[in-house]
Amino acid sequence: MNVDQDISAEFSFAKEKAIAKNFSQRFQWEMILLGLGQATVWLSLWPLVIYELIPLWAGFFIASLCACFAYLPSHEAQHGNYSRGNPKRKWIDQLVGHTTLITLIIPYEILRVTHMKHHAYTNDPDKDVDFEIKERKSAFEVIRKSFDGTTTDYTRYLEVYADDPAFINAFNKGLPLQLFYRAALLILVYFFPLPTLLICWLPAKIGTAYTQLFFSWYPHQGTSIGRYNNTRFWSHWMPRYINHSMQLHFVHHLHPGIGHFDEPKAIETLKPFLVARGVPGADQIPDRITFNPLIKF
Amino acid sequence: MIQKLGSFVISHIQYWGKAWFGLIFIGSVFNELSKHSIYLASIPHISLWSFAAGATVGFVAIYRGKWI
Repeated sequence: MNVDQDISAEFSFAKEKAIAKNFSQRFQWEMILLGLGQATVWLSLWPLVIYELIPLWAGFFIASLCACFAYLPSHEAQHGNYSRGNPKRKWIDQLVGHTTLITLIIPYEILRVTHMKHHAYTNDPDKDVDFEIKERKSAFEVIRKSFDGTTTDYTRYLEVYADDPAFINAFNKGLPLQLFYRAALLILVYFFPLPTLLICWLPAKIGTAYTQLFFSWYPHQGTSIGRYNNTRFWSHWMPRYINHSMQLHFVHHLHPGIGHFDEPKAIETLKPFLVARGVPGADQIPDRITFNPLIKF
Repeated sequence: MIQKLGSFVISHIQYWGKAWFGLIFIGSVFNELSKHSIYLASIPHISLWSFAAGATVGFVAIYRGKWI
């Protein structure tokens, strides 16, 4: 498909890509700190709660916060944004990707391989693993589905991608860890029922619902298929740091290599390109991205 | 052999997973909560009832095809 159809040379895809590349090179130390930090805090909650050094309700609150911070560092790893194509740094992707997801009790390999399919087939009813979330009518419905566990049950995609050995292999690589997580949960709950419920299971559900709401539902709600149409800029009453700046998720779908914390600057630079492409909401992007750039009253 | 065992475990969990989760996870939580209630703690065999209630929730989820 020619992405430069009806677009002047000034805003060509090649120029857009060159700009995006400038924002796709920095080593994202702050995201590594966030991922490993939240996992360390979450793990330390166990002895703190079991030995009654902190109350269970405080542990629950901190664990829920950790769970909400858990996905984003893994998401960068899924795109190889720590190693940046350097095979010697691949271990950083693996380390951060696996460790940070302990809080959400979901294997990294399964999320990585399904997320790649989400990018390849965004909004395709059969192939996009997030399509079911995107189609929910309300935020409440997204939360309900997340708590039900159906939105993270990716096993049905084993049939959809049965002809894709890379997908099947990566998925199968994650399955033993998934079984281990389930077994660990059932063993832990027998010995420490309330800590397992309130430090592990419920925060993981809250973190998953938060992630699916802000990563999968809001940015793709009401969008269609196509590079410049499958994600949108959206407004929310929350300052963007509370929703992980997912109001800017559009630019991630355009250029997944751009580091998360570099997205605001990238959008400022790419704004004329997005306006030229007729991206919904692009004309409302302020010249300078601030605390909550896309807020509307 | 290991592959066969793996696929058996996965297919078993896919069908019966909710029942196991109800019995062990929800049952353990019910059991613990019942110990914190003076009324519930006085009921004979409350642990048995707690785990039975958890398993029932799991079986209902299998019947409905979803938890909530």
